[in-house]
Amino acid sequence: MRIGVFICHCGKNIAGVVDVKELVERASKLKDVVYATDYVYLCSEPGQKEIQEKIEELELTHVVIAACSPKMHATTFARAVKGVGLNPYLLEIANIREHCSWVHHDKPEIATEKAFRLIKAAVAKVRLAEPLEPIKVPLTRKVLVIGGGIAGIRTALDIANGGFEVYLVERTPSLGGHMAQLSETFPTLDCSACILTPLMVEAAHHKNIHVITYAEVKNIKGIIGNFKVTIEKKPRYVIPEKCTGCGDCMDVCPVIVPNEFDQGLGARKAIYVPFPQAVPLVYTLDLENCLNTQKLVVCEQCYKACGPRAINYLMEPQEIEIEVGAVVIATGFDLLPIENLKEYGGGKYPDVVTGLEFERLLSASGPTGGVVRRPSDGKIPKRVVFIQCAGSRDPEHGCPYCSKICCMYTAKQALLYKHVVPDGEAYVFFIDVRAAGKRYEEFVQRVMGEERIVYLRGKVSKVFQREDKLVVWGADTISGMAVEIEADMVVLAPAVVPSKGTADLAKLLKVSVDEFGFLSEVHPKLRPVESVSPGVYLAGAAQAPKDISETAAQASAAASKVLSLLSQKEATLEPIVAHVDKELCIGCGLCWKACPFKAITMVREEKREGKKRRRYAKVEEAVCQGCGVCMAICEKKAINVAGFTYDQLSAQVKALLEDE
Amino acid sequence: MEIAYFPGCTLKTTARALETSALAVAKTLGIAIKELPSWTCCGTCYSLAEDDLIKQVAPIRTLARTANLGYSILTTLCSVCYNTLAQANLFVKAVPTRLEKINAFMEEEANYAGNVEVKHFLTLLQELGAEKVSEAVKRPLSGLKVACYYGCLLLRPQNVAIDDPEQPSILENIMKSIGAEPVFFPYQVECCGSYHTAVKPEIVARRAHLILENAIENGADIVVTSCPLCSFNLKERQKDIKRLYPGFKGLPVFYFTEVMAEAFGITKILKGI
Amino acid sequence: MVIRKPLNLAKFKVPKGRVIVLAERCKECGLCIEYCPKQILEYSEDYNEKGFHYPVVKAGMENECIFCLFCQEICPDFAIFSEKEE
Repeated sequence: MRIGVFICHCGKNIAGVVDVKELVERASKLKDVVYATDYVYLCSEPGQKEIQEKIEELELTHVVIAACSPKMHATTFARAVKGVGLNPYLLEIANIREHCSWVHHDKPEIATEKAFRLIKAAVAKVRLAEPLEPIKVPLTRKVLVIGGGIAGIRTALDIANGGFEVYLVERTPSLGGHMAQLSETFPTLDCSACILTPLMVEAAHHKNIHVITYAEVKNIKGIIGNFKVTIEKKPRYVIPEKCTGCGDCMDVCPVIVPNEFDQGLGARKAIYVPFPQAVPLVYTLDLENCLNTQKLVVCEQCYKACGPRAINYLMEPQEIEIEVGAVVIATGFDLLPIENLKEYGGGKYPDVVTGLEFERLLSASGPTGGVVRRPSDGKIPKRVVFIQCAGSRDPEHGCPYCSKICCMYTAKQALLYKHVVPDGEAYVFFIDVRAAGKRYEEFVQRVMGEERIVYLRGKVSKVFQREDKLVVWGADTISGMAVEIEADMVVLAPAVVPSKGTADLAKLLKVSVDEFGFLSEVHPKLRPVESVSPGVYLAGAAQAPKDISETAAQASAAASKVLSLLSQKEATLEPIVAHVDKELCIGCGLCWKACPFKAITMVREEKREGKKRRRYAKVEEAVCQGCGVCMAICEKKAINVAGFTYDQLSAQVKALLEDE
Repeated sequence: MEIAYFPGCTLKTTARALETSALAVAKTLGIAIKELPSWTCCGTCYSLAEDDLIKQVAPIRTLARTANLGYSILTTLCSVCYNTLAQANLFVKAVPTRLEKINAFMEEEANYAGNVEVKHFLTLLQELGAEKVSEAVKRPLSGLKVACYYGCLLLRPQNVAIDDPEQPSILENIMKSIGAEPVFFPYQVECCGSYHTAVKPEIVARRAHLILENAIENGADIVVTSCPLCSFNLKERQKDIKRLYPGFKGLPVFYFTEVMAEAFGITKILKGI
Repeated sequence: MVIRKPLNLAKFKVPKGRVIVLAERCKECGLCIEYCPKQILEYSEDYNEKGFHYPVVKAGMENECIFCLFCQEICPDFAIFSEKEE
């Protein structure tokens, strides 16, 4: 055994506190250590070259690197040693920066002693290390995309264009998501539906994309490369192949209910399409509101009116099972419910609306045909107050973060309002104006300057009704005055929250969420589309609030990750998994019960001459995540995680505690 | 179960009416409350300073004495006392070392273990239930339009608020159960001007004018309040309001317990009802 | 709690019907009144030859019939039906 120890200065990060020369001297005296040295920046190219040269020159069999956290450079150094033929699992990293010099920067002597002990422990562990090979699993070359908004559609198209099959699952009856509800998008003022519907149609007609709407993902089992997904298709009561989208059924339906797509400001029948450009253009019967619920008598108006006989009241939910190699979560966002914004009269006064509701009023295909009307009396408001940061940046409402899109869409809505009501007045209460994208700032300057919209920097403290006007009390901190505005309508920009059901889906896929419910990425700066679960990727506002341009970018990024995964022959997994020593295992089953990933099964061994058939634990390597719970619970030390065995760990502890 | 009652300074002086009517109401409804034998100042206002442990001594001493006498609930009528005592209670219970330091400082008092709950009288009435209150009504005040004014300290901050800070209903429910008709007016949770009344009464006059005019606009016959300071600002300062705004007609202001006592038939003295 | 009232109700046409009752056939079973989804029927003050109170449309609700034909389907005596109004 020939161990080499390389100690990094990390500039002044380590060397400024710890005496690296002393470490080199003491490390070289350890048993089995044939070489010890220090270097300024081991992660740099000359640093890595140094390690490689010494491995070859001195025929080192094991390597210890004392440097920063493995989270930073474990892969860098592993690649370096692999480059000269040394198995990367015979490399051990001692963290003498985050665990030592950075936290004990005011006690250099103690830090040096601690650093030495950490190196000693690493040497003790690496003495018992075994070479390991990565685990390869077969890949199913199909992808599941959950969510049919712009993020899901963009991802699906990119992957499908790359030649792989995609299942695009959407919960509502049509693709489109929130982008379909918008009137125009900033800063170009493109008609939202006009730029979205071509993509929706392309996705629906693409030979590689299976669009499954009005369906939800019920269960997902398996790991990267081999997910088994159960999808439940909710019954539409309309046969999609026969429905021509003519709308005769809708004309005769006697039930009128509020339309979710119009945020309740518009109506629909019990049999409906959410909006006229829906994809697929198939009607859906909302059985909860249909007269046929729980009645002895059946209203058959739609059935009789349907020419192609496409209506079937006896449809059942249908479960389909698919196998995919990767999953992309693109479930999008919702807005904070308006009832939470009581200080602005949200939920109490009908003329206090959210940005999305105002968007429907502005939209030409909306309930008022693009004429902005007050929900209370239908009159056209002549004075509208927009309140930004309603709930966002506010710990009291549970949303201390910035929702990113509101400053821009408020500016856009104020501009569009002025275009349709030229003699109207618009006031915007803001704390900051965040216009960070391409041509966003110019857009806001135009709104403030040319369109004569009054921007007041200050928060609104209260909105209440006086006769038929809404009184808005706010502050204008630039002039230092309290402001009272009698408005006809108040538009709030509520905080962006993850869409309903995201948390349950995350649990199913073993993806973590942050304290607000947004899906967690591996690294917010460098790896924003990968989740902590291998094979599961994130796209769009489900990961964090973002606008359409960023969503499209992130969706394509997720697609590229999926494409690079699927273009390989097999998926590669880390070999840090548990192994059972059959001789020591007594088959008690504690590890099987404890495993959080259900990676362990209890099997009976083959019949042996004269011996009782024993039960022992078996680990499914591809499922095991190497968490070590089984190791902790096993009383016989029969199960060990490769690279972190009992013997290795106890050697580390001994080395840390014993004096020289 | 007997509940300890902390009056505070104002209840024994300018707000005597609040105490006598509240005690009478409690007796009628069967809420057993007993005044603490030797009480001292509550601390007046919850301190917002960073290093404010010494300011907690006053309220914690009250709570220590309450616990020592065997009570588990302390009630009070004054909003300021309630706010100070409740916040101090939560403050010392949050970090155990704070309580240890205060106990060590107050050598002559029994140690406080954090086992007293501070409840405002309104919370006690809410827990009793609207039905019990209605049963005791002898003279339902039907047709009387009441504007319920909350002020600030009962509803902020969130951890001691007795009701929703934007749309509270606790006083309205009590008024409904005694037969009166509560009217909503948006200024019900707006500040009355508070301690400005001591040095700059014009500020209070301006605020009170806005509040009372808004109540009149929304059809109120009387205003009820629960805080002695609010009552002073809205009632006694009306002469200042009349001076600054000659068109102001005035509006009767009562403590909610006074109105309840009228409804229970205990008193029959209030004009304007 | 503000429940949003749709603003474009005028655009939605609901079928209209006219309720016709053959009073002599009715036996006051009440099924039509119970099953009418718009609840526009009630017992009459008057009674027929057999002594039963027959269904009548509530005052002011003559235009509310949505021609769902539930009353027509459920009546055991063919005593009530609705005619489509164009």
